[in-house]
Amino acid sequence: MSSNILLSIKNVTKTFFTTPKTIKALKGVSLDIYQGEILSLLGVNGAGKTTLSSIISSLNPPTSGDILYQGKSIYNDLIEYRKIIGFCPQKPNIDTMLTIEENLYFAGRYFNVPKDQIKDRAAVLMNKFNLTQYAQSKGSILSGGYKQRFLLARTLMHQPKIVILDEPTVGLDPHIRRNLWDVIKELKEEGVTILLTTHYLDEAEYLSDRVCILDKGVIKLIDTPENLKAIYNQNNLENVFIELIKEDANIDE
Amino acid sequence: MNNNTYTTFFALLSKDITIFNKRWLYRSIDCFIWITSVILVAQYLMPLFGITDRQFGTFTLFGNLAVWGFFEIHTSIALFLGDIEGDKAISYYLSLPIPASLVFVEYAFASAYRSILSSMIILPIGKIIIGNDFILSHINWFQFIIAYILINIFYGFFTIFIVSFMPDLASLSMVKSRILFPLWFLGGFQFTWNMLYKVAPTIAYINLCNPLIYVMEGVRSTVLPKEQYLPFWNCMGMLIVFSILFGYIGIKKLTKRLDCL
Repeated sequence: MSSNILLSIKNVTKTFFTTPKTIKALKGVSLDIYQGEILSLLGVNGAGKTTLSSIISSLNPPTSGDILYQGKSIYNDLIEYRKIIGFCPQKPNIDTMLTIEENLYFAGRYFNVPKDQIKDRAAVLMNKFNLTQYAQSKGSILSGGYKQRFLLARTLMHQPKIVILDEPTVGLDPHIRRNLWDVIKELKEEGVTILLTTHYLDEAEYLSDRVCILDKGVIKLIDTPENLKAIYNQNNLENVFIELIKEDANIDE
Repeated sequence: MNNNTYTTFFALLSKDITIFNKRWLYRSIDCFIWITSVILVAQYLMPLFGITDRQFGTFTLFGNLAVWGFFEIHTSIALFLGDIEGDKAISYYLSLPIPASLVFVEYAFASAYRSILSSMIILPIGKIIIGNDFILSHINWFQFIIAYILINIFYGFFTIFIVSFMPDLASLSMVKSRILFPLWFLGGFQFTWNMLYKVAPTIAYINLCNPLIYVMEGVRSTVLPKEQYLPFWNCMGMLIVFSILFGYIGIKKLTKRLDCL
């Protein structure tokens, strides 16, 4: 499997120099992400999930460490790296003055998608995410669920090889969550590598090839959901997670 | 900068132009109300206070034309900081295949486009109100267009600079009263640099540190007697220097503040 390594995170640290205290959000994280897999980042609030996904998406730089894409540091040619990344943030940062169709048009243009292909691509994605009825509506009128669908559609406009989803289903109704899960599975079938940050353990269990549990800025565990359940003798990932928290509490005591 | 970076840059600019064009009519109406009020007072009421110079209407018109973009800074600052503190649309742009510095440069150019387009009606409205006291043929159009563009680009970079120092949106009122208002009012909006020099030479020299003096002098020298104003090209040169300086500091500070690459 090592030949399929797409991204290598090498000893990444992130320190926030805030007053009154310095926060070490990541303390030397190293992991490999394989071509075509869905890797979920799990952890309690403040574990470093969003910080790590923001660094992998190149939105923020690490304090130290490196990220290798196909063996080369992404910081050698950040622009080229960003072309193959699709980052779907937690907050619905939509241009509310533009219509949904215009938002998708520009999302294509930012990544140099040929103009003659943009319209078709936008139509396909709007259809896939049930956004066609809102094509001429401004982003501000969309409900939370539709905003999330739009964000995912926008992320996919340039057909990225790696999609980074930061809590994509927070606050969504169960049926919309399921709908997004199906889309994420479809992406995997198309060969897209997905890094998923989530709080929902059922989501991670259903979708992931591997899960990476972060705790206080370090990787606690990284394995397949099946292996983790077997190791901890639990029937679902939620119970594994609770066991881990209990272990931590015992160590702290 | 490769071709793809240019494409992303111009796509961002095109996006901002599309957004502004939807609001152009509303902003033009705002501008119409503002300039009509100011010029009517300057042309027809101020003579009753003893201001009888026939050039005063033109002097006020060009001062307002130059300063429209400066007042737009308030809105731009509010929108920029509101986004940083709220929806963070900027974080999407910072994840695009373009260096963060160019995202901010684009912001400055988009800001310039907005103020240029929304203030385009000022000259025709001014001509209608002032009438024969404003002689269009006196305008050096070549210099005027250069000044008009450079002034508004300067405002774009000045916005970036100011935003980079502001901790939050709540500090906008402080910035308005402590920085923007004195810069504007002492920047030659109601006087020329030569007038100030005659009254208080030392203060006049200190006032050369205020970029607004070059804005006012530069644009007025394109239509009013040149000998009464600072040399046009010096003013434009200083505006370029201030744009680069404010842009450099602002972009550096914002890149650090937003922790981006």
